[in-house]
Amino acid sequence: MKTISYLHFSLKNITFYLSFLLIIIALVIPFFQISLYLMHVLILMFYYIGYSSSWNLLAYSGQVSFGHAAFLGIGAYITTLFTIRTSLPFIGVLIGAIVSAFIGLLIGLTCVRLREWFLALVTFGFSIIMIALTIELDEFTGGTLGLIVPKLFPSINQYQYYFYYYYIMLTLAVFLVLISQFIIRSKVGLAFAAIRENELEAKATGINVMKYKLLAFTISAFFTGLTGAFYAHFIGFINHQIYSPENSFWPIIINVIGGLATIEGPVIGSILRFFIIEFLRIMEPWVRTISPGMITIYPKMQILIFGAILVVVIILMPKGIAPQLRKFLTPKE
Amino acid sequence: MTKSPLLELEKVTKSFGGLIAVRNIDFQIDRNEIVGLVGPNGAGKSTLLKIINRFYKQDSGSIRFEGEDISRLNPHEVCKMGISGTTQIAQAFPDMTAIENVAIGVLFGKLGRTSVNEAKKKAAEVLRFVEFSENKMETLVKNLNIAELRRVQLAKALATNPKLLLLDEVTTGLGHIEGEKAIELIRKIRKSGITILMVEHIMKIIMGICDRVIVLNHGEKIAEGTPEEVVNNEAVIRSYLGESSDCLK
Ligand SMILES: Nc1ncnc2c1ncn2[C@@H]1O[C@H](COP(=O)(O)OP(=O)(O)OP(=O)(O)O)[C@@H](O)[C@H]1O
Ligand SMILES: [Mg+2]
Repeated sequence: MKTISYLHFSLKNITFYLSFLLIIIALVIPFFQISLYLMHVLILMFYYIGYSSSWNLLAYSGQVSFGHAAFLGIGAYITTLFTIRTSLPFIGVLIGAIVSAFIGLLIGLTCVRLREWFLALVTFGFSIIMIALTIELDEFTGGTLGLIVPKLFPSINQYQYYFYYYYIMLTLAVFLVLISQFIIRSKVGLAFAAIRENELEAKATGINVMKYKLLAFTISAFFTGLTGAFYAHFIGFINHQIYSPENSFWPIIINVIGGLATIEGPVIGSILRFFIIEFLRIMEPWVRTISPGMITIYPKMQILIFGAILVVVIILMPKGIAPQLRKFLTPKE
Repeated sequence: MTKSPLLELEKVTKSFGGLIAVRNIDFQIDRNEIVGLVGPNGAGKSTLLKIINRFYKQDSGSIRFEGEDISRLNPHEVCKMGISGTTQIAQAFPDMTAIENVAIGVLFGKLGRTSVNEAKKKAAEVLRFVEFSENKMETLVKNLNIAELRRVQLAKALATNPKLLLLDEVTTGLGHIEGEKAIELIRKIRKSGITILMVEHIMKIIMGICDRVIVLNHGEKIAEGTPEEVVNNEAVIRSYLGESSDCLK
């Protein structure tokens, strides 16, 4: 008992120092006069941490969504439409999250009795319906041409906008990781985990499975909508493509690589995604010189490479990187 | 209020497709009894327990718990009223620690309304009560052996603070010594004021601890009485013919 709690304690400490270090690094980066481009991709990295953490909250209850771009897009569109009319973006962001949570609850109601592939299909189908709906309601949504999204706050130039947005998105990412941690450690989180592990046993242990599955859908949709809204104000433009399957697959890829149903998974996966995409970009001129023909298919390489990494991770570490890293960081004896 | 029996089944029937697994079952269980449910393989014992804990919905008939009709409730609802138990196929939450498994019982059972930390403390107490080894409390349940897993299951059921405990073959798969210990534990649980309905294959165990025995065969109740009455009952002896010999020893 003594030794076990000691090991637990040290692992906790190491994780704590590592997170602390990461946050310090993240906080000082903008002061190094980095390029606008790097600023942009780092902000996107924080966005992916937030997005995949939100997705993860649903997965934590054993429900895997293949259409989370729907909630992302709902949050984005609602805040845009609201802000265009009222010029109150921060309220818009909140309303976007609330509407997304409400739709999440409705989708949850149709999904709670479904399992695995059926759940995947319904959620995926929903995101596709949102594409059609957005194009159909073009008077309202701008259709395929999309909408210009007002800025979240005024700024003198783009660099300043990015500078502040960097901290906003960083705060959002840290907030979503912490709140996930809080939820997962709470009574609600234990119910989610129990349902994921053994639904029948969860029922027999007094857990209202239906209620907690719906709660997971609502919470996850809320935070996904919130992240989508902040994303929209950053990018400054949205159209139906926000609902694209690719957008739905990213949190799955990130979480499976990082570690499904773990707190660190979204962080590890998003950081890895950032480095791989940057690596590919750095390699681009080199690819251009050795094989000019290949450059046309180069953008597709991203997905290809992520597919390959996904396969390798699933084979070598079926539970993703996080549990492996935990094992590595746990002091032996 | 205490007049009504703890559990009362009336004309309960359940079929799977064409197969009638449980037919027209009536019985009562009073407070602080240990009642044995026996019968050959496929007699409908597990099905009956699963109707009581609401895993299955009966086709007809009614079930009352402390006088209240529970025949339309869900598993989590009857759990909160004070019915819990273990299933035949040893189950739990495999990727959680023993403590967490039991803490979930504390948090969502009849008591509820405690913090996670309090629940974990209470869970440790319950694990100690079932004599679970102190140094395995933080072990993931999937890494436990069958005897340890059974204790976790039992502790998880007890943690919900039940009035009625349903046990489905808790000694199956255990060695002789572990089996003896399990029986001691069942006695201890009864002493703490919990009523027990247990399914058990080994007649010797039933004879040793049950106040009353109900015998099922092909889904029907063929006998009921004290263990002595039941083993001397013609119908029971006939139904066990062809069964493995240790059943009636
Ligand atoms: N979910 C189910 N679907 C279909 N048939 C079932 C189901 N559960 C049980 N049965 C059938 O109902 C009958 C009673 O099964 P039950 O498991 O209740 O028997 P049992 O008395 O517990 O037997 P055992 O001693 O083998 O555990 C059997 O014929 C079984 O095949
Ligand atoms: Mg059985």
